Amino acid sequence: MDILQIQSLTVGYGAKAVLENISLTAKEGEFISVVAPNGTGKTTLLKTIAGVLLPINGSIHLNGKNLSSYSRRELARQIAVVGADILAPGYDALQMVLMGRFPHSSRFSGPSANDHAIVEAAMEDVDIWHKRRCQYSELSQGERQKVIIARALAQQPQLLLLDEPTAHLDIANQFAILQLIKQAALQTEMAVIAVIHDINLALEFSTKLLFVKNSQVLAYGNPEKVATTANLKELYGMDFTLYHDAAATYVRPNLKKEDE
Amino acid sequence: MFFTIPHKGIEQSNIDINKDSIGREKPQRIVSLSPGNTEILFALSAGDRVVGVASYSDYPEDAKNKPSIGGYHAPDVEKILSLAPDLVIAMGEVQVKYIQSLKRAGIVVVSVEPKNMQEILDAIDIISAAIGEQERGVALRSELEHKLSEVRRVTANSTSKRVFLEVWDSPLLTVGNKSFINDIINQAGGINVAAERNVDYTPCDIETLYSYDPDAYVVISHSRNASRAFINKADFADMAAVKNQQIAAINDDLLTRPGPRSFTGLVKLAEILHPEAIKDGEIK
Amino acid sequence: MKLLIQKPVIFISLSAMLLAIIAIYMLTIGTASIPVHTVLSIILEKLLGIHNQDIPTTQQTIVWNFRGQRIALAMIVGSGLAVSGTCFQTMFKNPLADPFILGVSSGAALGASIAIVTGRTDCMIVLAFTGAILSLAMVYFLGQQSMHNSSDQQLLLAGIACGAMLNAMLSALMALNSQQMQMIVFWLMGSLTNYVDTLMPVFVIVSIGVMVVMLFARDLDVMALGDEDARFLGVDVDKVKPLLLIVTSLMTGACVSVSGIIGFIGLIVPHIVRKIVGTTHLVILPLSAIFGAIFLLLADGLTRMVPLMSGIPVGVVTALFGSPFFLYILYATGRRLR
Repeated sequence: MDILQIQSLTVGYGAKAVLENISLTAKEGEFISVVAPNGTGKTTLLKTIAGVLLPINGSIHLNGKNLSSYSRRELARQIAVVGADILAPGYDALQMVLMGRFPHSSRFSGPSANDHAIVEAAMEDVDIWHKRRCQYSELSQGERQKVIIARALAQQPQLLLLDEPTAHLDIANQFAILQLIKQAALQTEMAVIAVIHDINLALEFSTKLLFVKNSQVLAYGNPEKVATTANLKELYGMDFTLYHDAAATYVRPNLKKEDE
Repeated sequence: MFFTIPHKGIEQSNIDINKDSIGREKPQRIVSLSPGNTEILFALSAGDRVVGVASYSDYPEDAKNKPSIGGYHAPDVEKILSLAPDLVIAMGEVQVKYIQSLKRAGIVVVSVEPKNMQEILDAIDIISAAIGEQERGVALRSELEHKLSEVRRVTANSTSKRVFLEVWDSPLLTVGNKSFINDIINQAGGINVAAERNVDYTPCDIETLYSYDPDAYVVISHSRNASRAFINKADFADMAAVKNQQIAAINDDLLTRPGPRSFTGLVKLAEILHPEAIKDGEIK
Repeated sequence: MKLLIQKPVIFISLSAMLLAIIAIYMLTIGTASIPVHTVLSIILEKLLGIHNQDIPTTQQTIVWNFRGQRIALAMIVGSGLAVSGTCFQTMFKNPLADPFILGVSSGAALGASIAIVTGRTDCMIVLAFTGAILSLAMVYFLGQQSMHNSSDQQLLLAGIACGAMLNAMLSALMALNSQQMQMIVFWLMGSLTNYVDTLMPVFVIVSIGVMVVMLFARDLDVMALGDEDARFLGVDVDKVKPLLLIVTSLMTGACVSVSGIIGFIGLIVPHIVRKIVGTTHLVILPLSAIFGAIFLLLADGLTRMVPLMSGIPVGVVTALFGSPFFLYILYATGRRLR
């Protein structure tokens, strides 16, 4: 069964639509990247899928049921969101990640031994366990990002939504983290929808690409189908060259040489 | 010859009584800045010359019809000036700011602030001299003095009664020795149980009230009567004042306005404390 | 890990014992000095019916009725205000928030003043509480938008605006009724000596309030991250936040109705507690309650032990000691940030 089914979804605030007519499905193990120029409502899309914003039009089904029929807690057990960087006063890294177990825990007790085990595993996976006692606000941006990703993984979601998850990481970590997420998706049968700025990173890891421009879906489907020079030109307003090798596909915009 | 009064708490300014005694016209437009002063003015038969009074000046009846110049704490200087007074009777340090404003505007101001009954009598002297009613002032003073001395006479032989004066019930407030009500209590043959406190109005907690164990409990009623007195709560049932039903109420106007009616209040209080000496206001 | 979990429980228990000791000590102080063993005998007799020795009724009345009520009130109000303060600081993510920030205390003050001015002091507490509820309703209505959005600003602004308006009405009331101004001022300054016919209503309200807040202790932990993240993590912010705001405001309203405005407890105690035990609300909340009770007991005790301070209302004492302490917190925080 599809984990997520979106049909003709229009998202926005109040009456103002920022993205229109989106349809996609997400299955276990899939990694869907949303690629678009800045400020086109990608965050709004993620918030709507997470159930925090009401859609203007269209429908969202999670595991076959309408999104609105879930309680907040049920949603948090199935959907995890890695969003913008926040200031969390007073919490250390471990406490932050432990909050990922909140939707699964009871009201009356603290985290269980099982919770701690899951948290430790998640933090080891992103390689931040050694910093678990550090104050969250004193970590570097990259380390904070890892903590939030660990928290999302600790939630053990079926659907993982990521908003620019690698924005503050160096290139080695960018690849490492996305690799980790992809593997987790396959191992735990999780679906991933990520807003990724870097088209090449998206190409590296995605099973599907969604190009968005001017509030409309420009293209959706397998990366080979979607990442064509024509689509790239329309998306970014520039000519691109595609490079293939055995390991990967990557693109590079054709910059005008100085003497042209 | 200048008329100087060496009394504490009484201030006199800008008055040259000399002119009065050689025939200058008595002030015809008088403004009173406190209910107590209003009552003194009317008692000196100068009510018809009063053109403005402070709020709460509701005695005698005629005083109610006079234009109001605002409250005791913040009299309206503009309103006072608009009434073109030739004399303003103010009340003490609380109003010093307004007195200064009025003086700067060229108004003659007489200020009195009685701290005890004796000073109330002196205030009557000062005011009567200022308005040119010395004769009436002398008469009023001796009438009140007579009341005072009579009360002291009949209560002299009885032991002083320890009394708690309830100014308000919630929060529980009583008077310390800085209030002139304290003096009224003393003159009426009583001892204020809270007299050791060097304050005017002061809050009192229930344990302290209980430990005071006064002989009598007097409520200053602001349209409350004795049955609403704080001491009527169940916990105080074994206090002397409750067991002996020595709980009474006195109208607040009689005790909180330094003026002629303070002496009526004095008599009433003495009657409560010494019923054997005074009955129905009649001194035996 | 186990030691860390155990430490809070031990600490909470020790604090509770300290509270009990201070409370009993406070029962021995007053105009009549009553020895500790007498106090203990009285407590045993009244609570458990164990007759130890014959004690004069005056002493029993003093300890059990008078001082007992005062001590009990101190503990109830102290804990109620401290827990409310903790909750407000977390929900608004603002270390300067205190329980009066939404203007509930101004509503209660206005209600109490109306009681004083109309002479209906028998309804004082009821009128004060009504004032608190009405002001809460007003703020809720005006700030409703932001209860369901991610911005707290509108709610805080509504609180400040309503508080300002109610304070203005209060000032007007005082000016128009200058005869009773002093009575109102004394009430406003906060006191544990206002006679209360029965402590049961305020005790019930505060107890229920504390229990409800404790129920959402883990939600509060998550809400400290911000409304959005809290929603992502499964907290139903749109339901929990209004509920907690209403419950704590009612607690605050009840406390102010019986004791006037006692400030700084709701502001300072949460800071102290957080400094000692960190940020887990399952630990902070009970500790705030205990420390709030201790703080107010000590402040009230000062007014009874130090002759110079006997005329000073307890709200003034908490302000006198609370504000320099608060300045110190600001200084220390600023220094740390540099």
